[in-house]
Amino acid sequence: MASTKFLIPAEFRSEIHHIHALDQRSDEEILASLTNPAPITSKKNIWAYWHAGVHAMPGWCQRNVVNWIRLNGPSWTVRVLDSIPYSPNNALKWIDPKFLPDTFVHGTMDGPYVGPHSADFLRGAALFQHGGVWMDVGIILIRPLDRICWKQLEDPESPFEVSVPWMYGQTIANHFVASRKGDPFIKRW
Amino acid sequence: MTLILQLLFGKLTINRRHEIFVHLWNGKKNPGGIIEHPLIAFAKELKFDGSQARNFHWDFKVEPQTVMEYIAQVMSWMRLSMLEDPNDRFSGAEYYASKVLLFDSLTEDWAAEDTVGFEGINLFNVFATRLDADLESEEYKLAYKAVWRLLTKSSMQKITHGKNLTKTPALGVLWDLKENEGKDIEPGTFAELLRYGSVHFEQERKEIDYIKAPKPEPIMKKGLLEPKMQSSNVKAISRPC
Repeated sequence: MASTKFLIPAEFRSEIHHIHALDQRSDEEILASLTNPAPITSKKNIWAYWHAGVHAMPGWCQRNVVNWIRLNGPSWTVRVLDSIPYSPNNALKWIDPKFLPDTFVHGTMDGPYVGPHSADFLRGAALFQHGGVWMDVGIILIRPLDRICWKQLEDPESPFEVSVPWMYGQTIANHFVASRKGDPFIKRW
Repeated sequence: MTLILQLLFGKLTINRRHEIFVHLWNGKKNPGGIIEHPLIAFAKELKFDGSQARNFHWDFKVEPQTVMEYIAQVMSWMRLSMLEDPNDRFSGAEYYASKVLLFDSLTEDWAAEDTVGFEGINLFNVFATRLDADLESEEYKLAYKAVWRLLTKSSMQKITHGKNLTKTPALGVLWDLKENEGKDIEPGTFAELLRYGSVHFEQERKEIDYIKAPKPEPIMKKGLLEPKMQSSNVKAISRPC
């Protein structure tokens, strides 16, 4: 039986129901597992970045990532890339430098937003090279990725190849970008 | 053989350079002045009015151009989604209109702001509200409305930072403070309910708030890295990250 730590008020019982978490490990166990990233065997990859590594993230961001894993389950693999030399998650171990600007590859970026712009560079490159979903670590995910967009993206009968949050006209938000591997739009972006 | 190598080398070189955003950063170490790049010259004319018309109300303290530089990757997306490249016949405009699955960021990603406003402290207070507070108090009613709205009808809640871009600190900045460690999951608060519900509740709705991509205006018949796009009719919104 699913856990019922919090009861759903009667007015919302037609909209949500209780389920089990898809991963029963503790926060500490899940975070520890992220420092030993799995080889890529699927396109169901969740990509994120924190310059100093997953253990240096603010606690609330760590809990965001931990809950991504509990919500999406073992069919998805989360990798939090970083810029720590020799780290198993070092971005340059996963992303071909030819897709990245020299200043990131050589570690010469400066200014107040090195972290966010590093994530910008890696976002398109990771999705083009491997496929999956890029998420900023500031996302509290509420709905599984399969039910946001991935079912459509992996369906060969569906026309959709990419999915993003829309703001206005041609303006999107880039904290969440999902894409099939090798997408021609993401390549040109 | 030489020709083959040249062609191969040329192709590889083109591959390396055929990304708008990476091209914008050629020779740069930070985004300062990137808005002057001719590929995204239209960005200099963008204001906040387009975003405000869509009910995004972040209280930016900086000029629009500073925000546009911060989100230069979104400017790159805009350019690509309006482009028809005569060189390789790839139509970013057509691709955007038919192959990109869009969903409404206001209702799916920023519904907390849509419910309680865009100031970080308002969001902070909502999540810090105690579940055993007076049920008739305004603060309890607002927190109840906001958090159950997220759990029943949102895909995610993106917590913004926008450090030094907004007049008041965003929730991400507030939760980063040492004295606020654990506020995102504090027992007995609506924050704990959100954390629990995001993993243990499943939504009944079959689809989320998908959007039919609007037709790009104008469509530019330009090479991917060919400058001088027309700026008429181009408006944008912006947001902190």
